[in-house]
Amino acid sequence: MSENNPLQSYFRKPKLSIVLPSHGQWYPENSLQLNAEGKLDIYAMTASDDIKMRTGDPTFSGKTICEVVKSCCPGILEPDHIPNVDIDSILLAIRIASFGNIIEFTLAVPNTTLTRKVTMDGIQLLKAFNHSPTLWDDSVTIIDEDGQSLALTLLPLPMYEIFAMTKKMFQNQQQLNKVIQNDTISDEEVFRKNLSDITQNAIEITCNSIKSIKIVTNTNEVIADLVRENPQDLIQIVNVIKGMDVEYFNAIKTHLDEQRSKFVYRSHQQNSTPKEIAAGAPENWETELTFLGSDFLPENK
Amino acid sequence: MYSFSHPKIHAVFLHELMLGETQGHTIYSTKIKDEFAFKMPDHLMNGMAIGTIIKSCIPDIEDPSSLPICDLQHIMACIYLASDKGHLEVDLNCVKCKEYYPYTIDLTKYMDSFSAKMWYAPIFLGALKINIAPPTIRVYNEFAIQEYRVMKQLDQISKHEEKEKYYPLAKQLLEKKETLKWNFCLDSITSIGVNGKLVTEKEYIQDWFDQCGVIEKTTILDHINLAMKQTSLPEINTECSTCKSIIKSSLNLDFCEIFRHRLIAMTEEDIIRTMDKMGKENKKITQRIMEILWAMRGALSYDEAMNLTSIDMECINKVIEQNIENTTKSKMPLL
Repeated sequence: MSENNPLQSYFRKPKLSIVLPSHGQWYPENSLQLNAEGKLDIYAMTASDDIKMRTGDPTFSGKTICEVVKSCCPGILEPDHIPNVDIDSILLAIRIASFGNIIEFTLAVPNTTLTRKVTMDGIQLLKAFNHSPTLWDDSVTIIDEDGQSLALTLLPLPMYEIFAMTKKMFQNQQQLNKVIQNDTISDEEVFRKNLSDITQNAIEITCNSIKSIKIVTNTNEVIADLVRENPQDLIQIVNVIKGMDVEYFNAIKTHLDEQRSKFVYRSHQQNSTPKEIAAGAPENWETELTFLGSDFLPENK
Repeated sequence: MYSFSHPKIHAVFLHELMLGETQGHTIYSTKIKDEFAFKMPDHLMNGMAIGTIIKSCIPDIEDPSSLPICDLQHIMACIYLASDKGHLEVDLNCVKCKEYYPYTIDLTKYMDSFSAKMWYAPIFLGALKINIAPPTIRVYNEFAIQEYRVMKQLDQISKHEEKEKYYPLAKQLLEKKETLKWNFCLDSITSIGVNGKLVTEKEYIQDWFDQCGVIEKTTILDHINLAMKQTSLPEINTECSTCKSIIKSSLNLDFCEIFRHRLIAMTEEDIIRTMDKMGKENKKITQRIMEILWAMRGALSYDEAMNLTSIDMECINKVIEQNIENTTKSKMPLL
């Protein structure tokens, strides 16, 4: 790009800046450049970004999202390491910077196959959700019947791991669809393998969120102090989780889900129509808003 | 070489009107030799057929490809009118009841609706004044051919590739198609006015355009799309005679583009069949010319016969038929 270009001062500028819900925590060192106010500058998408988003990412690698984030948030140097608590806010901000603050969402009416369209103000959404990294409770302690405690430190997953998991789950689902036809299983072995993979995925996603595990006996003796960064410890962390009582495993999973849900954008309360109620919908409901799907881009003319 | 064709229409092109030129051009009817241009696959594919027709009917245009694209549909409409083909027959398809039925368009009614005003109107983006101008028919053709290739490949992979390979390939092709669209926009920008200065350097304009936000680019694209629309025939908006639903259809007079569009969904066998059919139709024209030459007993040369218009042909055919009838009645030998 030439510096002599007389149009230089009309090049893309930040349209807005946001406070990241993570406040920059959980990013690799030196991979985040915030402005003087400690906010992340957001630029509008270019036509090239728009093309990428509209043509989708058939490999589910998240490559498209990373490229668009790199283009619209130059302050994020390693977009694939964005913690999951920040993804929605960043995408919402890019959407506002590119197409304005009025966004039409297609909401699935709970307990039915119906959908409804809702228009929301993106700026109000950003303002209304006062995210804070302190919302994320990173520790969970489980005490067994013998008084032995298992203390875990949990982290939000980075974006590349979320996409890798989505891809795996999609592939497993495809394999299952292939072997299940007309309610009969054509290949028992493939069926069993994919079911087992789905279980493994759930374990893997939980393991990937664990930063450390500390096991202390009822006599305060530390029998294990495992840290994720240490490759030897990582193997042991996986073994601990795999061998864990299902009740404890579920407790960790629930804790992670609860943390994640604190950072989720929600619709306003919706009142069901008589038709929706007749189809099984509750009278009032609200639902999670997602920015990765078809609602992200306005309709193409 | 003598031509039977005589001036039929005098027209000022749309871009000339915008530039204040009023001299205009004399437009002649299409001739028998032009019929070949409509039936030569290579010529249709590379868009040369349009140039051949324009050159033949508007002899003062030396390089038709260098005309601005805003004139193309208007010129073709003028040529149709000059060739006594002002009533175009199209087959409309009702999407709802799947019925096809013929619809006639009277071109004379639409001649005043063509306008190139939008092509010469600047676009204002904040402090920037984006000046645009219609690219040439040559440039437009290059884009149209590239777009055809992408569309054909998309059609091919949708028929022959498995899902796993199809999606990444389709993504690549769709990106290419979108990029072509933006490149056409960029080619339409001639200069950008900023702070009283005019930036005409292509590399500066491209630098600015490449990093432009999607809204700014879409504003330019919408303007150009509207400009293209205004230089074309208005959309047909009629009621289906069977199910009464509204049928909307656009009419394109660029027969090269229509040919390429037809090819997109065709199988290899269909394409070969179409080429064969075109070849046979060309032979038929030559055969008919030879019959006329024989019947005219040397009064016409081959070149002169090729320059006959369809009306001339009609008249000569009538004379020949009359002669055959007379000789048959009088039982004279037909030599």
